[in-house]
Amino acid sequence: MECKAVTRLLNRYIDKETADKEAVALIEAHLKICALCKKEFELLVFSREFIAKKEKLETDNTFLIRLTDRLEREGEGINLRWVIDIGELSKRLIPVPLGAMVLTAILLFGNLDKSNLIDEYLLESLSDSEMEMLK
Amino acid sequence: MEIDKEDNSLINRFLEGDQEGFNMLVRKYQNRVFNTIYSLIGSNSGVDDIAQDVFIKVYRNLSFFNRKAEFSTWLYRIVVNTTYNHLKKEKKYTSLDYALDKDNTNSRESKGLVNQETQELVRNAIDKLPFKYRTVVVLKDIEGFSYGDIAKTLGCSIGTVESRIFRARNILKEILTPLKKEL
Repeated sequence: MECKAVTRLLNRYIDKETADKEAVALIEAHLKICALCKKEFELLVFSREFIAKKEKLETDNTFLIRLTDRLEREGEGINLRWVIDIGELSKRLIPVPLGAMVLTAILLFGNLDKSNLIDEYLLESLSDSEMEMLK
Repeated sequence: MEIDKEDNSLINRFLEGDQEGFNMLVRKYQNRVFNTIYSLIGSNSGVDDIAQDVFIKVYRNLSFFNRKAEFSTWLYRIVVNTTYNHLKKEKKYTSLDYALDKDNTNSRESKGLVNQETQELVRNAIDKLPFKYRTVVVLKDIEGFSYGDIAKTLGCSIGTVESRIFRARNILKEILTPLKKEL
């Protein structure tokens, strides 16, 4: 195996991501005879181990309390209720003819469906890639 | 990542109206989420807020999660994207305070288990990586993901992960080689 091919496979080898046993054997044989590739290998292992030394950060058991407080503060559920309440209020305040006109407009354009409003509210905070995993 | 039945069961509990299902998911993942964000931003400051943003997104959207992927894959994707958005925003406000805030966090460094100077060097090295390279290094070398798991989390191919790890480690090698003799 040539140096170029070995260098290309070194990270996979270090990370134990090389499924091909034959390739592993060839890499190991090459590292025994090539000082340059062996040096490259040692530097990569050093870098990897150095990064893995990074300290771990842990939160304490009050995180959930802070999260719950924030969810309540931000009115989780209240915002959804607001969407629903507006619908209820409008039923009472808007005169029947105006309501009929609005309903006609809704039926014609179909873009004020309440379920869509709720979905859009929920989904607006997610990026496209995060939404790929949603129904 | 193996199929996690526990996650599915907790999601079901939450969807059936049991708030404790969500709370247990938070307890299960909070330290991993904290540590990943910390590694990506290189500072304790802001980690708590970003972690809250992450779990709020989860709370609001869990009912839409399609379960074709692991919950943890989706969670880590949100972690990476939310952290990236935070860093983008932060660049506009460079005067933001970066002083360490350890009020709500515990690092092993503070317990004296890891050398402070080494930690500074590790942080500086990771900070020098562009975000896309930093992400793969953090997920691989700190969180211990496989190439396949990283690919699923980032929504890219294993080849892309491999190529980013190659480039990231080459950059790190350049930064860290002079230190090899000193350490």
